[in-house]
Formats: sequence, C-alpha cells, structure tokens
Amino acid sequence: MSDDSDYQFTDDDVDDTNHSRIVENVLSLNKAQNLKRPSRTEPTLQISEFNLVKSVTGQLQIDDLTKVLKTRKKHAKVGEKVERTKKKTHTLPKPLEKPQAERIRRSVGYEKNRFLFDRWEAFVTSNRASAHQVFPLDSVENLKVETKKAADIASTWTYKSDLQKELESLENKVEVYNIDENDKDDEFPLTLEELKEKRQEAAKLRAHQSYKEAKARRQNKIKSKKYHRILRKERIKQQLKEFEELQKTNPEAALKKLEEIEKARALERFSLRHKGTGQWAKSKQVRAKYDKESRQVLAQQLAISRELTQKQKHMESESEEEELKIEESSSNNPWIIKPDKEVSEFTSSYKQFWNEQNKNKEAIIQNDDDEQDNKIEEIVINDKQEKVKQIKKKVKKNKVVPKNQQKLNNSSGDWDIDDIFDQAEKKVAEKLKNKLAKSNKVTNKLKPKNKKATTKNNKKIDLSMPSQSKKQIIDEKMNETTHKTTNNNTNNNIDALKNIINLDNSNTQSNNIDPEKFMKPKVTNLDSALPSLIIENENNNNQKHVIMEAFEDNDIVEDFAKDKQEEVDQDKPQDIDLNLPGWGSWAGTGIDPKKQRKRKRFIIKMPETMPRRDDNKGSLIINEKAAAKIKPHLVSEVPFPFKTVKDYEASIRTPIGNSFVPELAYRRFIRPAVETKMGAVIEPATTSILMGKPKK
Amino acid sequence: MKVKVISRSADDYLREKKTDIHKVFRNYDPALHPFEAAREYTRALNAVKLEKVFAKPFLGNLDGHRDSVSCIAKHPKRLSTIVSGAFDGEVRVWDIPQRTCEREFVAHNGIVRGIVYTPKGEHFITVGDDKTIKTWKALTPQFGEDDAPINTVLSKSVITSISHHRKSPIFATTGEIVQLWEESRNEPLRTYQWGVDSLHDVAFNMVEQNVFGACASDRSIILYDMRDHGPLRKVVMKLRPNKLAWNPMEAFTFTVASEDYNLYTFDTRNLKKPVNIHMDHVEAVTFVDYSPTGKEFVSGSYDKTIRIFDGGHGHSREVYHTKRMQRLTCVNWTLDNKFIISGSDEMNIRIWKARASEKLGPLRPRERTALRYAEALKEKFASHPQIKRISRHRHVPRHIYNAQRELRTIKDKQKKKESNKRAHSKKGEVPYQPEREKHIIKEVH
Repeated sequence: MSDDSDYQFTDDDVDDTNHSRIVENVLSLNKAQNLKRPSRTEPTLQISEFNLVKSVTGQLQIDDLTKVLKTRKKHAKVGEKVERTKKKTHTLPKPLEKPQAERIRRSVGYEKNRFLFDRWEAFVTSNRASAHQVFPLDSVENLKVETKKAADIASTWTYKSDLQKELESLENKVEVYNIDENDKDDEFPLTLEELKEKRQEAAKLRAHQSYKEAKARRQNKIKSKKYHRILRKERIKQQLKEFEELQKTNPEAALKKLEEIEKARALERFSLRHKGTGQWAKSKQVRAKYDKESRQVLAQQLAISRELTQKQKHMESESEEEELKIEESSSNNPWIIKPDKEVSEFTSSYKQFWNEQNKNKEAIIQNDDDEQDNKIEEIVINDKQEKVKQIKKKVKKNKVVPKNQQKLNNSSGDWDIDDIFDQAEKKVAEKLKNKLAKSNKVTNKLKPKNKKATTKNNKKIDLSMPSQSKKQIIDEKMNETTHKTTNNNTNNNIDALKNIINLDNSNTQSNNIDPEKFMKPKVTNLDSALPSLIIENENNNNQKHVIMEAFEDNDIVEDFAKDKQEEVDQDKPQDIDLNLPGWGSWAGTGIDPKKQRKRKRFIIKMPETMPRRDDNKGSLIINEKAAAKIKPHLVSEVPFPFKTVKDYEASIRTPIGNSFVPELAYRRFIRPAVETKMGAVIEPATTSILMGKPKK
Repeated sequence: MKVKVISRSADDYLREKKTDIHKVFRNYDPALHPFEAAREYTRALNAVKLEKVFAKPFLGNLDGHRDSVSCIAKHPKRLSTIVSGAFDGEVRVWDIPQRTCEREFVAHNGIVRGIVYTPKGEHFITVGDDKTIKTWKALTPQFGEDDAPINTVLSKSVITSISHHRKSPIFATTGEIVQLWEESRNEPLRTYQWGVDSLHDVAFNMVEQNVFGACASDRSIILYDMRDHGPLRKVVMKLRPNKLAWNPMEAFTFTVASEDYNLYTFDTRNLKKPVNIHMDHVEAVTFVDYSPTGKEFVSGSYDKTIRIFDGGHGHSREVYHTKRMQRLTCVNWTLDNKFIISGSDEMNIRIWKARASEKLGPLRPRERTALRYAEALKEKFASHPQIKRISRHRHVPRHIYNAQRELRTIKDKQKKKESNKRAHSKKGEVPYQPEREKHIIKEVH
C-alpha cells in the first residue's frame, strides 16, 4: 500500500507549475526551437504580430492517429475518410494587401449604409413638400399603455375604513388606461430573434465582402494578355457608354471625358505599340519569310497601327461626298434636272443640322449609320434608274405615235419636269423618313441601355413632388447696410440724372423722325387674367366723323395740341443749381455774379427736350407722374415657383382674411408651416416613423 | 293704431357660449369686395412694419465664466438646463429661465474641448486638453458633497471633441484617431484611423444612429459606421471644415461649417458635390447647429455674427450681432425650436430668440390667429418690393459691411478674369465650373 501511495495522485495533488516544468523539459529534449505562446492578461484591441508563434506544445497530427488506426481493419474506413477530407481542404489564400482590403471594406460598408439612408427618402421628401407640419412628431415607440390602478392611487391619499373597501369591491370596476411615456428602456435591448437577425446580416455582409475580395484576388492573378486585352476593351466600351450618357446630362463633363478619350488614343498612337518594333514583332519578321501565319499576324498588327495613326474623318466631308454623288449622277443623266434650289437648300441645311446633332455620337453607331445610308442611297439610285427607264419608254411611245407629236412632246416635257420635281421631293421625303426612322431606332436602342445605366448609377430614388404650398421662395441676400449710407443715396440720384442726360443726348440725334417710318413696336401681352382696358372700336371712323361734325366751329385739334404743349412744359425738368448761397458771388463794379464761369460749373443743365412716352403719339397725353406713387409697390417679375403671370395674379387675388372668406377657410389659410408645442422637447426622427417596423 | 316695431331676437346675433366663435353676418360675394387684394396688401405692409418694430431677438446673457466659452451642451430632456465649458477648464451648469449659474467647478487642466449629456440626461461627459474623459453627475451635489467626477478615463492621445450616441451608452471622441468608448469601460471599444491627419470634430447621426461623421485637419470630412464597417467615405474640400451637424429629421443630410466663409449641405448618398452652399458670412464659420425641426440651422462665425439659414436656401434669413459679442465659439438651437444660445470669445453666453419678432409666452386665441394672419399675409405678398425691402433690411456692423463689399469686389474681379480668359482662349479651354463643384477636391473611397 505504501508503495502504491507513492504513485497514486489525485487531480488536486498535481502541482501546475511542476507539471508545466516537466512538459517544458520533455519538449526541450526535442532540441527544436521552442517558443512559448504568449497569453494575454488584459483585454487589448490589437494582437501583436510578434505573438503569432508556431506553437509546438501538444500538436497532434491527424495522420499519426490514422496511421495507428490503419493496422486494424475495422478502422480503415476512418483513415480513408480523413484522407478524403484532406484532399478537399486547402489552405486559405493569403489575405489581400491591406489598402486594397480596406478599400473593399469601405465601399461595401458605404453601399450598405446608402441603402439604409434610401429608406428615408419618402419621409424626407414628403416633409419637404408638406405645407404644414406639427412638431414634436408623435412617435408611437415611446408610449406605454398600461392599466391605471385608480383605486391604488386614491388609497395612497386617504385612509379607508374596511366598510368602504368592501363597498368599493362590490362596485363595478372600470378599467382606466394610463398612457405614459416609456422612459425606461428594456434591460435587454435586443430580443433573441433580433440578435439572430443581426448576426445573419453580419454574416451576409462578410460573405459579400469576401466575394469581392476573392474577385479582386483572382483578377490580380491573371497573367493572360488576352484577358487583359478584353478587359481593356471592356473598359473602353464602358467609357464610351459613360461618355454618351454624360453627353446628354452634362455636356461640359462630356467634353472633358472626350478629351480624356482622345488623349488616350493619342498616347496609343504616340507609343510604339503595333508598330512592329517590339521583340515579338521582330521575331515574327524573321519568321515571316517562310511562315504564312506569322506574316498574317504581322499584317494585322500593322493594320491596327495604321488605323490608329490615321486622322479621324470628319462627318462634314462625308456629307459633301454624298452631295457630290448626287450631282455627278445628275450631270451624267440628261433626263434629270437638278432639284429645286429651295429643296436642295433645305436638304443641305437639314444635313448640317443632322450632322451637328450626330457629331459626338459613338463611332460604332456612326459606322452603322453609314452602312445604312449607303444602302438607302443605293435604293434611291435604283429607283431613279427605274424611273428614268419609264420615262424613256414613254418617249419611245411618243416616237411611235408621231401624229400629235407636238402636243405630246409638250405634255411629256411638262410631265417630265413635274415628275422630276416630284421625284426630288419624294427623295427628300423618303430620306427624311428614313433618317427619322433610323434616329428613332438609334434612340430606341440607346434608351433601354440608358435606363439600365441610370438605374445602376442612380440608386437614389427620385420621389420629387410639387410643394403643397404655393409659397414664394425668396433666396437672395438680405439688404445689409450700416447706419451711414446717406451719401450713397445722393450719389445715386446724381448718377440717375446723368443717365437721363446721356440718354437724351443720344436721342436728340434721331429726334425728328417720321413716326410712320418706325416699325410698330411689338406689344408684349402678359398673359393676365385681368380684362384688357383697351377696347377696339369698330366704328372708329364713324364716331370721329360725328365728333368732327359736332365741333365744327372750334378747332379742337389746335386746342389739344396746346394743352399737350403745356403739359410737356410743365413736366420739363428745371436746371439744378448746386451753388451754395453766397459762394462765388463776388460783386462789384464790372462784375456780374451771374456771369461768372465758376458758378456755371455747379449748375446741372437739364436737356431741353426730355424723351416722353407720348412724343410720337399725336392725339395722346400720357401723364407719366400719375403712376409714380404706385410704381414702387408693383411687382416687376414673376416670383420663383410661379411660372405665369396668370398664376401669380390668381394667388394674389385670392383673399385669405376672414373679412373676405368664411371662418373655416380662413383657419386653413393661416395655418403656419411649422407648429410647435410650447415647452416640448422635439426629438429627432426615429425608425418607427418608417413603415416597416422591425419584428419583435 | 298698430305700431310696427323693428325687433330682432338676440339668438340671431349672440353666441350661445363664450367659447363659440362670434356670429358674423357678412356677404362673401367677391363682387361686393372690389378692393380685397389692395386691402390685404395694406395689411401685409403694416404687418411687416410691425414685425420690424417688434424684432428684438436678444433676450439676455449668462455671465460668470472667467475665460472664453469653448463649448455648450443642451440637456436632452429638459429645456431649462445647459452646461458650458470654458478655455480655463471651468464647467458651469446654467438655469436658463432664471439666468443663474447653478453649479461651477474646474473640470480640466487646460481647455474644456467638449461636453455631452448622456441620452437620459443623468450624467454629462467632458473632455479636455489634459487627455482625460470625465463623467459627472448632472444633479447638483448635496451640501457637503464634493464636485468630483464619477469616472475619469485617461486617454492615450489628445482628445479634441466628443459626441454621444443617441440611445446606447457609447460615445466617440476624436484627436489623432477616432475612438469609440463605452461609458463603463476604461479602454476604447474601437479605434479608427484613416490617414495620418488629426481630427477636430465628431458628430453622431441622430436618425441613423450608427453613423457618425468627423472633420479632419487635412480638409476632409470622413463618415464612419459604428458597427463593424469602420470608415466609409471621405470628402476632401478646398478648405478645412470646422464643424459638422446632422439634420435631426433627415437621416442623410448634414451641414459643415467651413473655413472658407461658407457652409455646405451634403447628401450622404452623393458626396461628389454639396446639395447647397450657404454663403453670407464674411469670415470663417466656426459652428453650426440644426434646429430640432430640421428646417433651419444656425451658424456662428469668426466675424462676430450669428446667422440663421433656411435649410434649402443659399442665403441667410437673419443675422444677429451685438456690439460686445466677439468671435463665436459655439451656437446651439434649443430643443423647443424657440431659442438660440451662443457662446463667444468674450466669456458670455447669450440667449436669442430664434424668430426675432416672435411673441413669447402663451397667446390668447384671438391674438394667435391675428399673428398667424399677419404671417400668412407676409408670405403671400413676400415678393412685393416694399414688403421685401422692409422685411429683408438689416443693419450690420461697419466691419461686416466693409468686408462684404471687399468680398464682392474680389468675386467680381475673379469672375471678370475668368471671362476674359475664356474670351481669349480656344473654345472649351476654360470650361464653366458650377459653384457647387468648385469647393470639393475629391471623394475618396
């Protein structure tokens, strides 16, 4: 027993330190370098890279175990299974470079958050558009409904006898609900389900990230030239597509993009690529003498280089060629007279217009266009030839019947010209039609692509709606002044005067001009709903006659002219004497103070004739001063959200006061845009406002 | 003889109860009121003049600090309490309606850089130049109790600002790096670093509560996600953004106050260019805060003025200044949308009305409808020249007037130079660049 007791240990008796020492000693027999895995004693955020040590202690390879198992037939299967799984497994790839990985991580996170932000679009747009809002928003989330224990509350205040209590218990109890703000948050903010959901979401996110990482890694690895070529081509295509889009939305940016594309092309032209100077090309050249294939490849390369270095053709030259063709054909054919000048002009201008429109379109589409053009032209030309044949036939017929040759000739000649005109018109019409159809086709082709692109690029939802209130938006700088601005005013006045004087000087040269010679000024009719005051009198002459008859004796025309002259004289501005009293008025013998030159400098002379609105309107006096008082109160332009004068006038004409509209309408009209509750804290919006509440 | 007497029943013209509206016998036929528009215009003109008469926005000031006020925090649940920190490390708790200081103590060695209340308002957290984060009880200590922080955390790096999560006990600080802290822990939960430049401001989004933005000294705005994403995106501007404020009603909108005298409103989903540029300040804008309705925001500037902007407008609708107010360090809009509290360089905290001519206190129903009617009329005739002139006229200090003139000439000069350049160079060489794209250098992914 005593011997045994030496060897019998309970678990408790094993000394930890001794044990670890023994393990260390045993391991040190191994002679291999053997670092201890560090253990953390306090929580830290970063794990030091120096602590990543290959641990030696207690590492057991599965192979060793299976080896042991192999000896027994019963366990051979286990070994096989292990082998199989081993085949399937592979070491994880090296993580991406840190900056790249971070970038991916950031972009994934941003996309995810953008999606979250998009949920708010509807709420925000509706808020912006609404004419009336009440704050604080009533969020249901913070309200807590629970039965109010009215009896309990009362019992705390008063003492009740047993009898009273019994009586109360006999009464029917009415449940009273107490709606309180829920101040206490739950102790556990997330339910189990929510936690699970959150974890799932995190997993999804991680997966998404890892896909992106894997893709990036794969792409980095590929060495194939062909792949890169395709990639480059794709990129160029993408660029072109973007460019096209930009062209529609933002021409300036498009121009910039075009420059970039051009620059890239120029760079490629400039570089020695496809020129047959590289290693590969040289080796091919050596072989080219004997090998047909390498010759072909070389030729291809050179063709590419030629294509690149060639100057780009302009659209204009093409159109010229087209015209030339028509002319040539017409000149060759004695039966075809040149189309009408107008028609030709129209076609040429149309072509110009079309070219301008198409100038910046994608090269591929242009090519397509050209091909189609050629086809159409061929068709047209064929048509022409057929017609010409018909005409010839007719002429032949004419020859066959010589009796009424003259007539027929005449008629045929007429017919010919008509036909040619018709033909030209038809041609033009046909062309137009074709082009239109083509352009439609092109646009149709482009449209769905663009749509896709827009949906791809603009993940932002557009829920724009018109503002509910017809409020004038005045977004301009406030009129900020200091206290001392009086000087400016006088200056302004003088400036205005000077302006008038200058204006008059320029006018005086053309003062004596026959009013009949002027073109009638175009009357700009503001589309107002007010009835126009000027009523056209149909019996104008008649009435005039009657008046003339009535006032036969006295010369009213003369009187009127006199009146007008008086009015004009009255309104004529007086000279302004800016001389200070006493200043410069030296007097004495031989000095006339009024004739002094210096005094004259301070007299601002008014022009003798001021331009008047009724200058050239014989029998009309316009009182320009009448509107002076109301002028500063009139609106000069339609304020922003309104588009027409009519709308704005209508909005002004609609009264809102309770002396003009019923009380209820009045109440509605004067509702303020933002209403707040006094003394209430306005909490920010919460997610409970959004429709889809999180499951609980 | 029968005498006919004109008589009418009182029921016809008297209201039954006092709460009823008055019976009005009126013919609303517009033909009978030919001068409707003219009469309303006159009323509007009178209303706008009265508005100017009553425009007295300054309510009072809270003095007591012995150095410039550096930061102010609003109590999230109570309207009457604010806390302010000063450049000498002193923190004061104020009672606004009484205009008294309830409590004062020195919290830090050096400047108090930031103060925030915890979401329930039980504590407030201060950060200072001594690299400490201290948590204090919001209640005034009882007699005999010390003003001691209930928790002090030593940070390894300098801390320049602090912002608290809206619901959970997490807050973010900036400095050399962005750190995310839990209230009960002494180590940051997470640290984020993007680039080497230090950051000087941080603000949590109030609606999408896990997102926060920070302003860095390399002239950039960086967006972060508190969950495991970390930094999301960076926008580099031409000049340094000083302060960032999120719109409390629009999850994706935020505004930054910039060193180049402007404020920029961004849509988080499209950071390539700002949605709007708000001009009018004549010196660097130092602070911006949204009204709780999210419709307006207030900004304080180095030019000694406070300006109030409508969120969608490029120009301010109001400018506040007093002779004694120096450079603004912080401006806050109270949570009932009624007042603005500003702290400035000359040690005072000022209280302003958010709408200069608003009548404070409860209103009688008739008074309220009358005021609303006046308001509606002003809105209706807003673009009439006289009304526009009166309502938009402001007196500004001489230095601002002069600075504005100077800026205008500079702008005109630049415009002219550009147009000259355009006129004398190849077509398309000098492209037109929209104002909104001028101030952004790039968006970094």
